[in-house]
Amino acid sequence: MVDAQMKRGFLEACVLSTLCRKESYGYQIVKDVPDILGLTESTLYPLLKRLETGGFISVRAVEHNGRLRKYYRTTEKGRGFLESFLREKQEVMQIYRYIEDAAGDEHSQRTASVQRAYSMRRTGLWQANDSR
Amino acid sequence: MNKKDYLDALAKALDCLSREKRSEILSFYREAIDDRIEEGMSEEEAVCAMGPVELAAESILGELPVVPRAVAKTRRKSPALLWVLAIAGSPLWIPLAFAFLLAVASVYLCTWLAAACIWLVAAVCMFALPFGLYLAWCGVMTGTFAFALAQVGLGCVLGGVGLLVFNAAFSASRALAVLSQKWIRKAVSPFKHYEADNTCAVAA
Repeated sequence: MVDAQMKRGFLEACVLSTLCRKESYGYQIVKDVPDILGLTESTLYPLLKRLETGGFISVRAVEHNGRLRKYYRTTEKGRGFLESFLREKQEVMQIYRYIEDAAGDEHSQRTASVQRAYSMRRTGLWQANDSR
Repeated sequence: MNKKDYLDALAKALDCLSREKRSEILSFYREAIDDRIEEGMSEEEAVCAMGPVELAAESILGELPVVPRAVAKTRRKSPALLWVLAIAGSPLWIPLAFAFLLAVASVYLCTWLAAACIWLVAAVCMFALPFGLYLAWCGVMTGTFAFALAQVGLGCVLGGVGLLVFNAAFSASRALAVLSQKWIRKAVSPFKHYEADNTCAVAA
């Protein structure tokens, strides 16, 4: 499960990139965005409003089967946002590598200390057995 | 729950919003339900896929600016409570609102006073040229040609400086206009979201 704070940023980028390829509507966006982000209409509507208010997407209403359907499309400003989002990828990967290394070091240290304690205990038991 | 019941419940949960805003939100959810029905889901399944009404309302109200959000959430709990808080809290929020308005107006005024000062300096410098020419004419009339020449020179120099300051004042005014617009938007942001200006690339 993706952290809520990270999820918000990823959702905006995912929706913008979905609308970059071609204009789309609400339900189609929900289907296209990766399931792992758990996008639903409850989160999609405020997100689309936020993007529209910020000028990152444009909206138009089209008649579809006797009703109006809203289609959304990424603007130039939205594409600019995506470009800067992708530029941050290397920095984000660097942070992930650091965390992996640091967490990996701590894990190795814990494993080593557990193994030392176990071998010392075994040595203590053997010495006790020998003295009998 | 069917589509009508769901939309009615959502409309009731969003009663605190304006009719126009509520209509826009309901139109979005109606469209989402219709799209799912068109794909083959039953009405109940499509409505179920929308999630609980309370969750939808919370996420929508959570996007409102600070003050309307607090008012909307209090009004959802109890309209009477909102009135009680508004009246009982008035000795606090009225002076605070007044102080806030004064602070906003003061910053706005100071911004434009800075611009006015630069324009005043430009005007004074440019006025120095005709004044210098007048003093030069006086000097010629009294026979002090060196004085007249000095006044012409000084007037021209100050006039030139005035032109430069005039140019700086114009640029400063444009920059201050943008700054004051940003300040006003910042000041109003707890109450209202602003639509992005298509001519200005400002990140939301």
